[in-house]
Amino acid sequence: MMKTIIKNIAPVLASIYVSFAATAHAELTAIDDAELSDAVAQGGLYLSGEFSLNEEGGPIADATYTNDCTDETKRCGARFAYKMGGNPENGWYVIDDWKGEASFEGLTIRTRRVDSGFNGDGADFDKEVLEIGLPSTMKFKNYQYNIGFASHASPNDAPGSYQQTNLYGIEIDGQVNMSGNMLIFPTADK
Amino acid sequence: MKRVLRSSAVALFSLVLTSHVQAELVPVDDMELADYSGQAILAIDDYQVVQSDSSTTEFLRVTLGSVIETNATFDKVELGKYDRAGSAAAADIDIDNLSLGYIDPDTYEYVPFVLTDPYMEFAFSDNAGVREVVGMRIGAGSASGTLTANINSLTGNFELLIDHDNDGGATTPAVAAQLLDSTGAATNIRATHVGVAGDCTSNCVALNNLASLNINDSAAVGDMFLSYQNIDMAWAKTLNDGTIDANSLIETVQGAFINLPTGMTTTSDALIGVPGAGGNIQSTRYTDAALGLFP
Amino acid sequence: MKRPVALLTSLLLSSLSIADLAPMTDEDLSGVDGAGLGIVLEDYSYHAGADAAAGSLFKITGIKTSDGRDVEVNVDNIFIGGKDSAQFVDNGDGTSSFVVDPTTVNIGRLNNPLEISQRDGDDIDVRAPNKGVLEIAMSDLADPTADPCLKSGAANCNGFSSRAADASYQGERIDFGLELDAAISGGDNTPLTLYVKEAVFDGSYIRLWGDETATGSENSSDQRNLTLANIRLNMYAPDIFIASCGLDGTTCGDAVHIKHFGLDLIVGVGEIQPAMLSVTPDGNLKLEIEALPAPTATGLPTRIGTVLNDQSDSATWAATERDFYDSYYNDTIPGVKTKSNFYIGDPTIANPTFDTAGGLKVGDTYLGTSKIEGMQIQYLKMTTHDIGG
Repeated sequence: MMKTIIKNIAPVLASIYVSFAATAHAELTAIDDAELSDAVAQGGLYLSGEFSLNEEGGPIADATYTNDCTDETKRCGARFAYKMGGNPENGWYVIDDWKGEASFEGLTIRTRRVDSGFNGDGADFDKEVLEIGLPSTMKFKNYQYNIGFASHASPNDAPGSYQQTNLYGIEIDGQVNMSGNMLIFPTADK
Repeated sequence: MKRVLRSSAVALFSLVLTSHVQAELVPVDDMELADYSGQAILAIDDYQVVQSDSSTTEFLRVTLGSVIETNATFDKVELGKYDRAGSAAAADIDIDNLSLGYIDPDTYEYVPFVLTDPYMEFAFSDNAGVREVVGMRIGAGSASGTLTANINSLTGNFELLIDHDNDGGATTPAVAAQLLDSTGAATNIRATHVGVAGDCTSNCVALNNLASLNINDSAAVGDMFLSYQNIDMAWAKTLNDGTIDANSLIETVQGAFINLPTGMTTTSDALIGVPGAGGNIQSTRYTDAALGLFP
Repeated sequence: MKRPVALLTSLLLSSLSIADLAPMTDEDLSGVDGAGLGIVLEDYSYHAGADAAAGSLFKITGIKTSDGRDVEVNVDNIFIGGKDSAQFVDNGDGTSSFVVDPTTVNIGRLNNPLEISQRDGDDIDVRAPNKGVLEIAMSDLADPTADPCLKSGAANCNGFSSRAADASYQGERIDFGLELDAAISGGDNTPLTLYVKEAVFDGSYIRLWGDETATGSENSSDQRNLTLANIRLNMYAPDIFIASCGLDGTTCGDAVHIKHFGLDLIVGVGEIQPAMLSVTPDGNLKLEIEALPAPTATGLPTRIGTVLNDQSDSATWAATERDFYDSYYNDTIPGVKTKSNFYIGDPTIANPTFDTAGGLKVGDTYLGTSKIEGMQIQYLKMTTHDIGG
């Protein structure tokens, strides 16, 4: 009997920024019983995921926005703007021209009791933690984004007077290697 | 045994818990790309300079396009502290109580020091095809404001003109000040005095008793910068429009080095620091006696 | 038995996450008030970079020269790991090769983890009264106003919570590095390598809180709706290298070697002198540190008075108006620091040599120890602008 598990999409930018799950694609994928029993037997979760964002352009094509990303004079990526505080005079932080594909395999999640190791700290700690095992590789394909600062959330808000200054951009097409676990636990009041 | 639902909600860029956040994911359309694209805050420049010994030095500079206004004080700046033959001073640059900017004695407002387009730069020489780092510096494309300091020793350039007979150049033109040792001999290594070389009776001011200086780096005098280099070498000047002039050079010596462009023409007497109200040392803290804010 | 799981999406972003429902003992629960989230990275390493042979690329874009030409910056290597994650291997001909093979490291300790927490602004080491402050912090220092080694010499640099690696344990001190090359369109590539060994960031934090009143104006109805911040960057590293290696990393010439690097940078002092990061109306970044206000004829300026009224210990260090300013200028306000320090080399050693005191070496030339002590920013406004033609 095949079981299906919804492959949740978990975009994890290796070290710098996090992707935003709201517009990602999800796939229903079957896995076979042997793999499933391995995952369940450990009392945790083993995940693989793929996230792609406007990889080959989005739904809009007009004078300034393209849906095939080959025209370099037009934009085709997604854009995320945010502002801290409510002051209407201030501008916005922007992640712009954000597109591409990121995928990973082998993210694990489980709880674990830490009561040894860590050069003596484990025995003193002796508590449960949430352990997230990081995937050993993440693959990026034509993945890019720009970081900038803008006068308005979107150029449409102020046509003609909109201004944006970019700090830098990143383009990755290849693999990132990682190792290790992230242990998360509550801490007491200071 | 209790079962606990563990949940965690940690905000993107840690904003949600305390601040209002407004965010949008939007498609972009109907605007002129050319109006706002192509603007950049970081610049990288790579250029070459021919040194006085005909060797070539390559430079890599990273500039942050910005204007910085600041009032800052430093208790102690001591750079390049090592034994150096020919000098009893402990360090190449030894400054107590350095201040950038000052407090206006009439309005009690801050009058800041202004630095534009600060940069960090590395210098490389070519050693048989292998690139070696020979120096690095931090500086600003342009700098202006008041600098107050007690300088115990200085290795560097002190760009200032001395009108030593105080007649505006009518009789003799103002001369470029030189850094001197305590005997009045010209040296820009661990200098303790500034003035006209050989004339330390009347035209020589101790660096630890200086008036507040006006820093002003018009194109003639060059950038305000601090550098470390392991050879005597020249660095390029940055012009007022932000471009680098690889043919306008500032010579430096091995060690820690500071280039202080004052762009001032003054007399030796006016350079001698006079503390207190009516003096020529600016106040930099509200508790300074000269401001009279506290009895 | 399977349980429904919603996914924790990343280090900093998560939607609601329900891990395996795990039984906890009463002892576990009694020790936790749940004010924050502790994070420890166990056996961590990270390695990425362009690899021309494999056809992979990693570029930093959007950078131009100061006269407007495009600059292509390739990241050949970027890594984080434990001790000896990279080496300069002597080629025997006066050059060396930079070889990267990250080892693993733990970041944070179970009894002193990285932490995201809600702090009480009334605490004397926060000083933002009546506010809830979001703090993202590295491991704590034993005493937030003292440093174990910057001023007291290299011998004390084992006093940090994060431990150095030894033969039996990988430690909590981080190696990290970056190899990149910059090429101006059509020009030659200039490579630059940065390698920091066994760095400690204990005591560093970012604190954020909201402010709906003016912090600089005496007019309380002038609302600015700002996010205020205090940032502390505390970094110690026993060795830092800056070199230029060939594009493949195999011909590194003489480098800059910094031994005993220490930085304790304070940006903002509670709500006495908060920092503000914002985007200007014309789309540039602005960082401000509020100016220290002047005393008034009737006593402390309103904003300072408001902060001190809510601090239970202010009578000990700000009994008079003069006491307040003296405490600020002398860096003696309990619990917080008002001055920053920076050291290259051990500042306590007279007649230093590279072996005894560390410091800066450019190639084979020793340029001594250096320090900037007691930097106090009484006012700062940094605004970015377009550079590059």
